[in-house]
Amino acid sequence: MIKGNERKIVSTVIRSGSYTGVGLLAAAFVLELMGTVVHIDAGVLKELSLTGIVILIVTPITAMVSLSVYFASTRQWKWAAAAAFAGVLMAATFFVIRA
Amino acid sequence: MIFLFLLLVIGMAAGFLGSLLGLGGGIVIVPALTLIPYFHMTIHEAIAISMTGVLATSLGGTSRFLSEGLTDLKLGTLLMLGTTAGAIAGSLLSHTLKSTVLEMIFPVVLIYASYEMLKHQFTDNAPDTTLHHAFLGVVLAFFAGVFAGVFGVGGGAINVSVMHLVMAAPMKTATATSNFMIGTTASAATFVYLLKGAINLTAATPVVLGVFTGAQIGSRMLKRINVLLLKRIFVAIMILVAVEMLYHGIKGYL
Repeated sequence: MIKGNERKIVSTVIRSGSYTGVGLLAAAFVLELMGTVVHIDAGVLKELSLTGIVILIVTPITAMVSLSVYFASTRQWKWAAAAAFAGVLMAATFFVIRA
Repeated sequence: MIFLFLLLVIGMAAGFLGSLLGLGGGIVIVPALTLIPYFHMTIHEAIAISMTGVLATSLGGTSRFLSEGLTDLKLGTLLMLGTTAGAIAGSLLSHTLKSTVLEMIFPVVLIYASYEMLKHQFTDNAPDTTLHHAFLGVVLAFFAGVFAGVFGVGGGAINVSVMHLVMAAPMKTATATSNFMIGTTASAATFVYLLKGAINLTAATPVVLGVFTGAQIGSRMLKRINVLLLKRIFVAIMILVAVEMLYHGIKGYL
């Protein structure tokens, strides 16, 4: 029972992101287990896990951006600004810490 | 290989219990990884791994709650301004504290969460849907974010209390919205841990997979399981773990 398009949009974004991230982590885990039988470069496993985790990290931000776009498209300016600010706050904080 | 499977099982247990009890799962992962000597993990390593697991639990739960129409995205957006800033502050603060200090503070959080869980068994009233005290809510959400960042937990118990007790949101809405917020809090904190190189990727991978799978199983079994009994058992376990952890912390400090 999804009421409202904003829930549908956010749900789709979150489901896509989480399944992709977890899928990559699953691939890394299977390769890690196979590594006990055949040689697999540890760098590949690390990259897969890292990419999976980064996708999981980015998913909520993407959801906030899509939520903001939805609110803006329906002229709910106050909520569009709040959602955009929350997303920008997260992204800006990440950038500041990286620097 | 046994190491990886054990982590997978711990993650599954955390995700399963977390989805049934409305927690992020960090409250299970952190004590398990620090108290089981086989893993040789410090509380900082355990918290970093746990935060990644909490992120996965939240993402899995949020899509389900959105489908059921329980999440209030506007309420979540408002409080998220506070929790995101708080999570960053908490993550930075956790690196300036000694492990033994964290081991003495964490049991207090466990006991508080137990108290909240027991209290909400009996007070599931649904007040009016008008939100009150928005500013106070954002300020308290900031502190929930700090807790999440410092202790590697989702901060769900605090989020739910703020929305339900301070802002008068219905209990189910508060729980579902908290789940959505936990994801953004955990996302910010996980990023900080990742940049600091604090996440052990080899260990985090099976934990996240386990948590995600456990949460999926738990959410499907929710209707068939006596959650009240499960909550009581879980509270008893949390209190035992809190006492054990406090003992460790005091021993390490002396």
